[in-house]
Amino acid sequence: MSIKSLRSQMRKLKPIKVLTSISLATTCLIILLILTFFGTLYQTDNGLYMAQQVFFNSWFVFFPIPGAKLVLIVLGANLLSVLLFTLKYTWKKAGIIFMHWGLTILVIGSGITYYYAEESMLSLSEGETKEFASVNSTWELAVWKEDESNEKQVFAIGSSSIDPDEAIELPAIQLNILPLAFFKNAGAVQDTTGWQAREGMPVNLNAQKKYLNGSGITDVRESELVPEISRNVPGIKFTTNVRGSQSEPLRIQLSGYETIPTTVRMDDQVFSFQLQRRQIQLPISVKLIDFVKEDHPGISMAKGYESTVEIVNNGVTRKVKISMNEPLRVAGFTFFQSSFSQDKMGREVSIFQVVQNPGRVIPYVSSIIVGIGLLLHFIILLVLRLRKERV
Amino acid sequence: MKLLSIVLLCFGLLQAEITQFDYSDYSKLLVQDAGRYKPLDSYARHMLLEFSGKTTVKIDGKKYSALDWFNMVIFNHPQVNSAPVFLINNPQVADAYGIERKSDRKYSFLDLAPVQVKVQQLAQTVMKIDSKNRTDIDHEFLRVYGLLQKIQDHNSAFTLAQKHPTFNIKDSKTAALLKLDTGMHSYLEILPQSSLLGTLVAETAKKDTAKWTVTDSTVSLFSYALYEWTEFYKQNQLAILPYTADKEYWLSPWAVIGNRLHISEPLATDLQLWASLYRSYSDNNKSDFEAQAQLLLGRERNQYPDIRYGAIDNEVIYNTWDFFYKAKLLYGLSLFLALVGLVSRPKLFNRASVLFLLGATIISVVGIGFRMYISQRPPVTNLFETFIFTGTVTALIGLLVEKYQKNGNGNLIGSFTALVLFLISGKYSSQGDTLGVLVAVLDSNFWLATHVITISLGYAGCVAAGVMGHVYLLQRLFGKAADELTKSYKTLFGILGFGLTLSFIGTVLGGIWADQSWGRFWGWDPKENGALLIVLWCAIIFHMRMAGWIKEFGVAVSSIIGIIMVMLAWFGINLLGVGLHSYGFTTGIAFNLMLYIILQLLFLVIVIPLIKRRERV
Repeated sequence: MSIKSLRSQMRKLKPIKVLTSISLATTCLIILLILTFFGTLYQTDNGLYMAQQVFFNSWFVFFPIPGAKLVLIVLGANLLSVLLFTLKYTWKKAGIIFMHWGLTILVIGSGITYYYAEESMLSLSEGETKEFASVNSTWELAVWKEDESNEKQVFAIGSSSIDPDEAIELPAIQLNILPLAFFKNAGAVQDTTGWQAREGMPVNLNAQKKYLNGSGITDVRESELVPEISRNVPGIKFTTNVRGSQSEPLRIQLSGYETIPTTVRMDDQVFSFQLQRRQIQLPISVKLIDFVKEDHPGISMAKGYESTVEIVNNGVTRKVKISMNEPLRVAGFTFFQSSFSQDKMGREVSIFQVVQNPGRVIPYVSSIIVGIGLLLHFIILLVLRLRKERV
Repeated sequence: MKLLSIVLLCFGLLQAEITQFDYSDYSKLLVQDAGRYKPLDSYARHMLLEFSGKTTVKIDGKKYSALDWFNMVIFNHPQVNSAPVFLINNPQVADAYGIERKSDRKYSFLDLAPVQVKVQQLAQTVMKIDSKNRTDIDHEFLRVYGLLQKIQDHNSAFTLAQKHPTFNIKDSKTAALLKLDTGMHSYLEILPQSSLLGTLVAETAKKDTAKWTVTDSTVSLFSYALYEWTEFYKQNQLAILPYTADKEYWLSPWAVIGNRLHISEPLATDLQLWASLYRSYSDNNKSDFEAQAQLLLGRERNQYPDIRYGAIDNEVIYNTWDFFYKAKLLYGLSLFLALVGLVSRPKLFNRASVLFLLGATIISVVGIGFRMYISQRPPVTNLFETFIFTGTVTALIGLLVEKYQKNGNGNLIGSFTALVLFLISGKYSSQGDTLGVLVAVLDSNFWLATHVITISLGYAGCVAAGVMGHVYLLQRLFGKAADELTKSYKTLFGILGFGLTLSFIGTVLGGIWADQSWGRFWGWDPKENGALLIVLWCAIIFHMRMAGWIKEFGVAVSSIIGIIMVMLAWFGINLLGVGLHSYGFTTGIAFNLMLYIILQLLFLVIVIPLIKRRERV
């Protein structure tokens, strides 16, 4: 069976007819327009993250109005099916063909980016080295056991896996955790009375009857979610015990604001817990050597800033400069100079955006294809027009 | 503080007449402001624009240039206080201050001086309000207070050169001691004696005040005044002297002195030259003023050779020629002629119209060229520039259309659109410096050039197509022949295709710029969404046509709606105040945008039924 007849057969099928209709394409475009319009207005009061959740990254804004995710998938299917089944591949249409293939690739690429890309942040003060970046709005409960070998294996439980009353088992370190409550945004209260050092670890006696906490926090309370997603700092309350142990489980509460872990002793074993932003292991270690900010003369508006970092990749150490508009691309990760600040001691801190995106190259590829298509289309139109005039 | 300034004010009464000098050298002296070096001419213009929205001012019936006014301010001319430079659009502000409303909304320093305290009070109250919650009138309170401070600050820039009664040596004994003549002196004349004064004051302090001689009181008064004045004036903002060796920081004469370090050459002579400029100005001595300005300019250029003086000189030329104003006039004339050509003798008037359009376009391009040379960057880095650029492009589109169609359509759409866009640009230039420096992320010439230019070209295409849509509808309303309609429609369609292509490419380039700078190609940022709206709308028009949902008529109407889309994306988005592109907030723009949208929709609502009725017959 030839391609031509295969295509004509497919075209007769009802679902293909619907999928390849131009009315479907037009409708999708119109809905996308409406979503973009209202999503932008919505953003003014509710912030980008919420606008994305409601309008752009959702299946439905509210039934039956589709969200951009659904629309783009349908549009992508529409494009693909037209290109596969109905479009006539003639020379006259060369421009159109390229344009729409390019667009299809763009839509597919956006899907890949949406599902597989990861953005995180790395902040370094001069002289500091790190191998991990933090994801801004995703949190995890990190658990590890201290043992003699000093090698600690950290277990990270993503906040999406934490459900109240659903036990978490970590057989490798023989530990059980039962979350009692998890608040996406929580405040932490510290009652400074009743302190006593015990076994090298300060413990608030008042809290002992309630929940343990290494920073002396006496209560973790739920707060209202703020629209700017990265400003929400969670809190958690849970009980934990060694598997098979007869002792009473310990009650612990943690806040994302804490900078130190809570360490407890159970049955002669030492465990540590910390509620932290999700850490991504970087393929390289990064050390900030120097951060330079240049202002426009006489005022404090930044003209440009750049960081000189030293990276260790696969055992090879080298210096490299990262500045606005000139990121560092290495081992599948891209490091962008995002901004800067000053830490408590007045030292400058350089802040990098770290992006891992397997679909990064696709928009470039599709843009070139669409660009060729546009050029072809106009050239063809011109040629046709000149031919007509000659007649 | 206020007493001091009022006293100084009164002592400017030495001169009653304003003379206009030859400013060809003087206008090129450098000022450091907002991160760049400008000629004094630009600084004066930007300041006057900030105050009054114009670059000239009328005082007592005579018109003065910005530089004239500026000199009146810094050199303390008595008439400067009656200059009506404070443009306050909202009359309720005058009520709040307790002053009389002016019908032309222009107030002078003399109007505001009596209520200075009230002005300050209101401004300070407003400052406590979160900037998001401030109303338009709150912004006005802040603005007027800021302007008041600015003019007083500049007024005192050269008090150091002014002969003042405080520094009056009455007796010859003191005069001899201080190695000066008797009579009034300026701060600057007394300053070199400050260490001598210090020693003398130490002696005087030991004496009982009842036993003080004239010398003692003079010496202690001078010493005290020197200190007081330095402390009071050292924050002065007129940055005309380069203070650090690398020319990073420029200071005003007062600030240079106020830093109390030894002022070495060549700075010391420069300071003295400025002081003598002041005196020549006050004495109305034209030849001395011009000679001193020339000397100062020569010294400046000699000492700091690595500043781009070509740009400075050309900026003065650019200021003087006022290219875009002239272009506006010619666009207007071209439009007028094109409209006349619609009713009588089309061949003649269209030819005239095209000539004026061509002239206007050439002037616009020259103006843009000057800006590019001065600022060394592509011509679309702020909203003012995008309107000028896009306007020029639509004029070019109009010229092209006219070349191929020869029926006056091109003249109409070119001149009309360019005129409107240039007029809108005026709103954005009236705030001061449009050649200002850029924030770090925008300071990347390649992506800046490609992305913003392409988007501007896309805007131009979509707007031109929409204007063509108006022409098409009006032609249908007035029952033009079918082949003329077809010609118009084809033009519309072609321009729309151009608009879609460039808007799409521009949006994609924006995505690439974003990927290079921030790590993501698309983030649903409001400005990105705005560009997407335009691309989607154009694509929708083409697909609706293909699907048979609309015909020629529908395409024309949709392209008119396309103009609304462009306006929303262009500066409607900036009004939302969120996202990475919130850099263009201007009061009054929101109102004008709303007004435009209403009028545009009104046009459609009126014209469409009329056409339908006409064609049903």
